[in-house]
Order: sequence, then C-alpha cells, then structure tokens
Amino acid sequence: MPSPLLQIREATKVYSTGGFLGSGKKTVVALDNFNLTIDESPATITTIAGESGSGKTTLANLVLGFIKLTSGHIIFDGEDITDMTDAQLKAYRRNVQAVFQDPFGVYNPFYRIDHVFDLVNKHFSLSDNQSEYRDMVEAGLNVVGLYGEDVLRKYPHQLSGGQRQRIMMARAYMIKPRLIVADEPVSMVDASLRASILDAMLRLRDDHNISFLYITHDLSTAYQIGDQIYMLYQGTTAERGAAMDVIDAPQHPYVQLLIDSVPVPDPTDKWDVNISLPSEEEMRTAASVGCRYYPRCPHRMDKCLEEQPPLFKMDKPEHEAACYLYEEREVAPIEAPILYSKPKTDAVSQPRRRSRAPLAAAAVIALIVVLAAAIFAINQNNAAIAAEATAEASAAEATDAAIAAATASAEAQAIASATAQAVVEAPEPTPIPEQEFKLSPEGAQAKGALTLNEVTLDEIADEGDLHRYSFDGAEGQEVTVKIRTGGGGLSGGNLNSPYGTIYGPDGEFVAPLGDTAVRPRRSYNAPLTLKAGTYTIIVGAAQVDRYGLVGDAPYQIEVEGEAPKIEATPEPTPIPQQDFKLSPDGAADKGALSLNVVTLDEIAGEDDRHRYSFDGAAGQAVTVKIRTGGGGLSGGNLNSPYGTIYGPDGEFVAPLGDTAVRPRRSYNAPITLKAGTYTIIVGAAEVDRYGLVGDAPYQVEVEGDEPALAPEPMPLPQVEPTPLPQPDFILPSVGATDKGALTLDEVKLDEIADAADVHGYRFEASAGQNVSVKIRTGGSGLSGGNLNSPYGTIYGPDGEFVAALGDTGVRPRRSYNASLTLKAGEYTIIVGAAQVDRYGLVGDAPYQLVVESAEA
Amino acid sequence: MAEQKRYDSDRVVLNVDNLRIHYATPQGDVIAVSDISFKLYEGETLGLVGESGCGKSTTAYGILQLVQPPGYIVHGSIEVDGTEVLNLEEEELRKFRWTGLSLIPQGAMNSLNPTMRVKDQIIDVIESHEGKQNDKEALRERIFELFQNVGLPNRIYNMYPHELSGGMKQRVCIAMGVALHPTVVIADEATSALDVVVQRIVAQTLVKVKDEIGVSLIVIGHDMGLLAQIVDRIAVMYAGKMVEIAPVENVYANPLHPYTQLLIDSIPSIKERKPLKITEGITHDPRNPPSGCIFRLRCPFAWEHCAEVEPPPITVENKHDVACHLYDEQFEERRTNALATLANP
Repeated sequence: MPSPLLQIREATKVYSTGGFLGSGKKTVVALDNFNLTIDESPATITTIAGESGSGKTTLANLVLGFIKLTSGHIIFDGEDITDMTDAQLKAYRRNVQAVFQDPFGVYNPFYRIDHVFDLVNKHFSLSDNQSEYRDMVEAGLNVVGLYGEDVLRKYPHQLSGGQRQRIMMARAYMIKPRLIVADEPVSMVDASLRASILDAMLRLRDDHNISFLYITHDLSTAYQIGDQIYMLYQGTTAERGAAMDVIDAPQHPYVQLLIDSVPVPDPTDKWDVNISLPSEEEMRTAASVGCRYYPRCPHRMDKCLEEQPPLFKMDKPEHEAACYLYEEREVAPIEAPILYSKPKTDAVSQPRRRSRAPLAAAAVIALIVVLAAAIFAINQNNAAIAAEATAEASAAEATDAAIAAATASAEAQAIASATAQAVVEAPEPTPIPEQEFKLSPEGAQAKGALTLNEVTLDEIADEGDLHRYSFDGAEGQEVTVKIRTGGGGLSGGNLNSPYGTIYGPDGEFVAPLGDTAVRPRRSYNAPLTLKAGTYTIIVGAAQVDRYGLVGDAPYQIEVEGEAPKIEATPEPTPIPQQDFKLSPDGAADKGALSLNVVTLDEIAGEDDRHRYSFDGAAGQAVTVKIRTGGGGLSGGNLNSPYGTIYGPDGEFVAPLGDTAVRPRRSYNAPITLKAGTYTIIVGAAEVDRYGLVGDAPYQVEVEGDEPALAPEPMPLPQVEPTPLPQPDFILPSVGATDKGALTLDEVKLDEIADAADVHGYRFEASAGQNVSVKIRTGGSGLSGGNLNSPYGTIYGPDGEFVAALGDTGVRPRRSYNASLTLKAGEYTIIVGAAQVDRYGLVGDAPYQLVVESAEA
Repeated sequence: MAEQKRYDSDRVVLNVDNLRIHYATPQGDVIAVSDISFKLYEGETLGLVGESGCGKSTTAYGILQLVQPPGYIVHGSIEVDGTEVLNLEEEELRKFRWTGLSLIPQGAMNSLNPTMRVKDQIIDVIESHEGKQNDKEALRERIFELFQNVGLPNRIYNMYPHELSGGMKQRVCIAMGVALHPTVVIADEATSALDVVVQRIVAQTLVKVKDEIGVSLIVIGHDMGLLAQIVDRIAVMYAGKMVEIAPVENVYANPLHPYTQLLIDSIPSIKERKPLKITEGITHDPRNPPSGCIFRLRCPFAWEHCAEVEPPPITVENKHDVACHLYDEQFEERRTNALATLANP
C-alpha cells in the first residue's frame, strides 16, 4: 500500500483585493476546495496545468509555504504543515525544494555558478569537508547531465537557459528533497533546449525517487513526461487523471477546447474553426455558485448554475472530470487524509549542529539575518531571495528549538506528546492489491537461487519469457528486493521496465516488483519482512507498458538485506575480504609505477588482470588512485575496473574500488606504507551492478610525497637540472606539417586527422611581448558528447620547450590557454593528438588556435 | 466578413539583401545578423524562427530601422515596395513606420501607454501620419471598423489598457499596427506570453486581419506548432545566418538543413510520447564564429569542406533555399548517405 507523500484536502485560498480601509473590498478565490494526493513511492511527476489565473502558481506557493491557506489542509508525510513544529518545518523545507520559471532571475549575475552551491552548503550545512562537498556538487551536476569543470567557474550569462535551469535542479537535488515544486521550469527556455531539463526531471524521479509538482501551461511537455495531471480552471479541478489519458481523450468541455487549441506542428492539419471568448464582464461574473466554466461552455445547462459539479469517474482508472455531462456516473470520493505519527527523529537529527557554546550568539545573528533578508524579500520580483529568507528563518527557528531542547528536554517531551494527541494511528495494513501484472510462476524458467546482496543480471527475451528465482527467508528477516533496468541510453528515452511478482513460502502472493501505474521506470524496490521458508520471484514482461512495449530490457535483480542472525561468535575480521579481491596469480606484469605518474591501460575481458608494483618506504603516506572514463556525459554505463593492493609480504592491504556502490569513476585508497614492494592488481570486478565487467580504460596512479630521506649520508642521486617538467604529451616539432605563420589575434581552424597527424605553426615575437595562446575544440556534435582534446606544445626561438598547450591531467576539455611573456624570435606551436586521452581516444576533433595579444 | 484581397504572389514587397548587423562590445563586435538576404511576397505570411540569440528579432528591428546602440547596421539593403529604407531621413522614416512598415511588439502589455485611453492611442497613430482629423464621427467609425477587424468589442473604445486582458491588449496592438494599412507588418513573438486558447484567438485574428486588409506579414516566434498553423513560408535562422527558407509544408514534411531537421525533431508533441532529444544551444563565441558553415560544430554531417567554404544558399525549388553543402550537386553521394543515416539512426 503506497503511503502518501503530499495530500492536499479541501484547500481554499481567497485573496482580498481593492478597496480602501475595507470599503468596497473584492475577494478573489484563487483556489477553491482543491484536493490532490502524491504517493511517496514510486516517485511521480504530477502536472498542474491551466491558463493564467487558474490558481496553479497559488498552489505552488502554498505547498512551498510562501503563503497560507484560507482553509483546508496540506499534509506532508502524514503531518499537516500548519501543525508542524519548528524542527519539522525545517525538515519540511529541506524535503520540498523549488525550481522557478526564470532561470536567470534566480542567479546573482555578479557571482560565478559555484556561489549557488556554496549558498546551499551554507544554508543546509551539507558538508564541512571541502572535498566531500565538491564531490556532492559534482554528483549533483552529473545527475542533470553537466560537469563541474564546464560550468562552475562561469557566470550565469555564459550559460544557456537550459544549463541554468538544470543547475537549479542540481542544486535542489543536493539537498536530497522528496518533492520538487517546479513552477514553469521550461517556459522561458528555447524549445530545442527543453528536452535536457525534462530529462533531468526524469532522472531525478527514476534514479533518485524525487517526486515533482510540475506547474505548467505547456501541455506537450506534460504529455511527454507527466504521470498524473490536474487541469485547473479558475481555482477548481476541471479534470484529472493520467496525463496521457487526459490529453488523448479530454472529457471536460474546457479541457477539450484547451487541447484542441494546442497548435499542431503540421501545416496540413490546421485549426478548422475560429473561436472567440465571451466578454470580460461575463467572465468576471462567473458565478461563485455553479460551474466556473458556465459562461464559456458550449454545453451549459441550467443545472450548472445550481451547484459546482463534483468530479465524476471516467472510464479509465483515476480519470475524473467535473462536469454535469457525466452526471449519471459515479462521483469520485474524496479520500480522507491520512495523518500518522512518526518518530520525529529524522526531523531533529537533520540539522548538523556545530558546538553548543555559540548557539545563543548564533541565534541572535540568525535573527538579524532573518530580519534583513525579510526586508530584502519585500522586493517580490525575486522569489529566490524570498526562498533564501525562508531558509534563513528556518535556520533560526531550528537554533531556537535546539536551545530549548538542550535546556529543557522535559518540555520537548511534552511537545511531542501533545503532537501525538492530534494524530490518528499509522495507516492500517491494507491487503496488497492484486495488480494486473501479477505473473504466474507456471512455465517460468528456473534461474536458480539468489544470494543475499548479490546482483544477478538477465534479460527478458519476449512477452512469453518468464524467469523464476528463489531465495530463503528467516523469520523476521528484513530484506529489500530490488529490480533495476538500463533502458535506452542517455536520454531517458523509452524504458521497457521488466516487472515481477514475489511469492511467499506457501505460494501466496507477497508483493509486486514494479508498478504499471506509472511511466516505465528504471528501478523498483520492494521492502519485505520475511517469514521462514523459500520465496519465489517471477520476473517477466509486464503484459504491456504505457508505450505498448513489453519489458524486454536487460534487468538486474537483487535481494538486499542483512543475513539472519545466527548465534555464533563473531570472528575478528580486521579487513573484510571483499568479493572483488583479485588474486595476483596469472596477472600480466605491467611493471613498476612511478610516484605521481599516471599510467593508463585497459582491461580487455573478465580474465584480464594487470599487475603493477611500487616501492614503499616505512611511514610513507600515499594515495593509490584509480580512475575510469566510461560512456560519456550522462553517467551512463560505467564499467569500473577494480583492484586490490597487496603488501610487501603478499598480505591484502586495501581494495581499490567498491562494489557496494554504483559503478564509479574514481576510487582513492589512502595507505601508510611500510618498507618494501607493494603489488597492485587491476582487473574486472567479477561483475558490477549492471552485470558488466569493468572493461573500460582506466588510469592508475600512486600519489604522494617522496619518502623522507634517511639521515645517514647517502650518495645523492644525480638529479639533472630540469627547469620545466617534460609532460608526457610533449609533441616534437620534427615531422610536423607546416601550417604556416600565425598572425596575432587571427584564429586558425584545423583538424587533427589521426594520432600521427601533427601540425606546426610559427609566430614572431618581440622581447617582452605578452600573449595568450589559446586552443579550443568543439567536440563531436550536439550533445557535448565525447570531446577529444587536441594538445599542443609551444617551443621558443632556440627550440626550447616553453609551455604545454593542453592538459592531460584532467578530463578532455574544450579549451586551454597558455599565458606567456615572450622573448624576441620565432616561436613554434605544435598541435597534435595527445598520445591518448583518458578515454583512450586521440584528440581528433576540429580545433581553433589563436595567439592573442595580452596585457602584461 | 470583409472581402479578401487578391494578391500577386510573385510581387516582392520586401527585399532584404546582404543585411549585416553587429553589436559593439568591449571584446569585439558580436555578429547578430550575418549577411542575410530574403524576399517577402505580397500577401505572404513569413515565419522567422530560431533559438534565442539567433538574430531573428535583430533582423526585424533592422528592417524597421529600430536597432538600438550598441547595435548598428554594418551594410545591406532593405527595400519596401521599391523604397530603400536605409536611405530615408529621420522624418521620412517616422512617416514610413506605420504606413510602410509596422511592428506588433513582443509583450503588448508593456507597449501600450497606461495613461491613455485605447481610442486616444489609436487616434494618435492616425493623426500623427494623416494630420488632425476634423470629422470625429468618421474617425470613430474607422476605429470601430478596426475593432471589428481584430474582433474587439466597441465598448473598449473609452477604456484604459489596464482594464483589458492580455489577449485584448495584444489585439489593440494589432489594430494599431494595421491602422494605416502598411505594406509589411512584423509581429515579434506577438503571442508567446499568452495562454493557449487566447494565443489561438490572437493568432487567428492576425491571419484574418492580414487577409482582410491585405498586408504582408512577418511572424517571429519559436513555437513551431503555432507557426505551422499560420504561416506560408518559414525562414530558419541560426547564429545570425539564414540557413533555410522554404514553404511551410516542405519545412515540416521534408526539412533539408540539418539544423532545421533538429528544430523539427525537437517539437514536443501531444500525440505521441517520444524519446527526449537532447541538444545544447549555440556553442561558439558569437564574436568569433567558426570558419565555413556556421552550424558545422553541431552538425552530424559536417566534413572538411564545411570548415573551408561557407555554404551559399542553394535554390532547390521555387521559393525554397537552403544553405548547406549537402545540397550541392557535386556532393550528391554524401547527401544520399546522410539521408540514409537519418532514416536509420
């Protein structure tokens, strides 16, 4: 039984306008007796659509707590927001985030993008640790298809509207909310860039279980990504249902007109009738009793003036329309709101408190900040500032609450018991509905037993293909059965979800594994409390999904949980022998690693293992780093190579990688060494979560300081004086194709054909001249996909190495600038493919090269 | 319903030739409109589309001689009915606006004077061009006729703009735009701030008035769905260049330029759910456009030739030009391959 995340019941908001000192005051009902439910899991995108003045933005502001209801209830996670304690409100504001319409207005144009994230960190105290915080920002950006390197140091005006809006999504994601209120997030962004924002929303919904309240007047985007839709007309729900049902077959006369008016992008299918609106007066006198649409309705009847029509049930489940044309049908009931008491622990533990001593001072300062921010927020143009002010306010409230809790815990208990009185008991266990996609175990192909916490990968071939798994349960054991599917790649395109059914030891239906009620999704979790016996899981294609496709994608299945407690003496295991511990036997010897030098290689197959060695000195601290590229921008399929580090005596020292998390791009193992030779084995982990071996190219590096030299006199090694490091991508000028002389500030464009193609340029310099040599590359096309950076080297008049033009130490990048102060003579620039970049690709993209004059 | 005018659909009423507009910035000029040429025929509705920053609005403001500094026209020719607009003196130009060329601006709410009644604003337009009108009764009749053309009730005659809805204000702007029967009317995103139903009413009004009064119309917008409903030809702009200009049916059924294909592909539909097609915007620095074809950095079909030679407009059929090397006869094989990739991605 899904528990509701957000319930809105009989919500009414009345604005008073006009009049002076109460005389001739007019009231406008912005929202009238409105009801809505969003379930906790699975996450959904609920669209609120309607014309301007229909009350959709009022609804968003109510849910965000910017304004208060005139009457009715907004219940989040079983708790009415008007009854929330300060600590609960603080948690609520973390859980409900906003993304606004204007992707420019919410940014301060004078600050770089990273400032947005710094503010979030400050308000919500996400992390005190800089590197942990940077990882969080990067992870947030990756979720929305961006990279920190590309955006963080830019100013808002340097980004497209789509990028700006996705950064707002990343910002919201970092706070790990459960609901995002997105008020017209795409309406100010060009149509061609909207898809990237919608894709980010889908990823947050499917991969991170974040629901959306998507406020829009654009029905086409609602149709593309929305799960449910509420069509508002003058503050009331005219029609609601699954977005596809409502838009494909609207039932309410207003919604019919609306959908008919959406221009069809087909010049051969033009509007066939001219429509007109009734006069303004008629529209405004739209009676407060009866149907709001009466003045415009082509089907109006006398009955419509008597009473506002309730929502009647249509043919499709959950599809309802408020129109007396359907009077003979059943009236859709308004479900009573579910309120329940939850342990308030998560609300209280949320704010990460610093030391107690400065609390009082902090509270005073916070209050001052609130006042200042509130004054600032009077400028209603900038909703974001208002939002920040709210966040500040809640910080202060939380501080107050913390003081109260610290000084009088008895009082806190009193508050808790008072709250408990006001609520109903937790929802009673309802029998799980027998969904239509319940799959019978008969005829299923036996796929064997599942091991706890081990991922199994398989694929459904067609509609008739059913797989049967089993696993053993112990009495009271808690597990989560997880199913996950990859789907169609980068864009969050068509996902064909496999579905399953879980049966208990006595053959009884226990739970569905998947949900046909929402758009095909990437993952589904079924949490179970087991009894003793063998459970059966049947996985197969759901009969048909919303796209008419069967779930024939590859899937992963896993039973996650703790092993049942067996009474046995726990063995002291200082280091867990992870399952991906790779044996050094039979590994191909790849030689010794030098300190701080990156080595690149690639794992060919499951059996391919590489052995590296490096020497340690006693007490030397190093970090062994492994890093892999994977399939591009979207955080798509990453096949992480894994490794194991063995010590001088052959002992297991540390794993190099982590199978417990989603394939990741990098893993660092910090080690304090003893004297002797260490061995690193790199290979494919047996299987990752996606059932794939880690066969991507990888980089391995031992990073750290040289060991301190022993005090005893030792012949110093003859270190040659190398004023400049000769990076590995230094390109020799011999054999380069002469591309002629460069004129100052003139942009040259060319392309590197292959790894052997090297271009040479010349330019004359005078003594003391300052220039900036810039190289820039486009990458392969639309999506900012794989960028193969060309690299270069700058040589001076005497053939000496002057500077590198590019950097293999970072992810392939679009541009590189080298600022130089020149001496007189002819300089040479060599451009070519770096031997290989991180992805094992040569830099063969088109590039631009320019020598720009620069200020000293 | 007034009688529809008969047009000579081959008569050119507006001829834009080699128009180039820059915006001066401290880091160098931004090329907003780069040597574009096109013709508008009598009675025609031309849609001008492209993503933000592609220069479509700048083109319109250039035609109207309304480019504000730091923008300036570098060179080009704009002929309306044989009159070279760029040669007009300030006073002649002022007369020419509203009679030769008129603009229905973006966001009508902000372009009406809030302190003047609707009638006074329209009378102002008429009298500033035709002198003081002594026959008040005739003037009122004329305004009522305009109201009728755009589907407004006569009662708004004495109203102030704030008393009108957004759709009505937009229609007042249309009435003012056509009051003096100009040759060419330019509607700049005239409907994009409106709700779908009102948008439909305003768009239909625009087309109806165009037919009744007999003007030629340029509609600037980015809503490809709306343009499909109301225009005859579409000109597609990308980063200051015109990449394709074609009859509307061709653009939607058979877009030729790779950018037009991308544009058509990314139209959201309410008929079927499709995988999202993700693209980034213009990626190059507008001060420093790439050599050769402007679109080649994002083009899936670009090859060396595109970096070397800027594609000239190629006329593939009557009134249909495309600026892409794929449609050059000598690259026919490449074109066949490209189209095959499109068919089987």
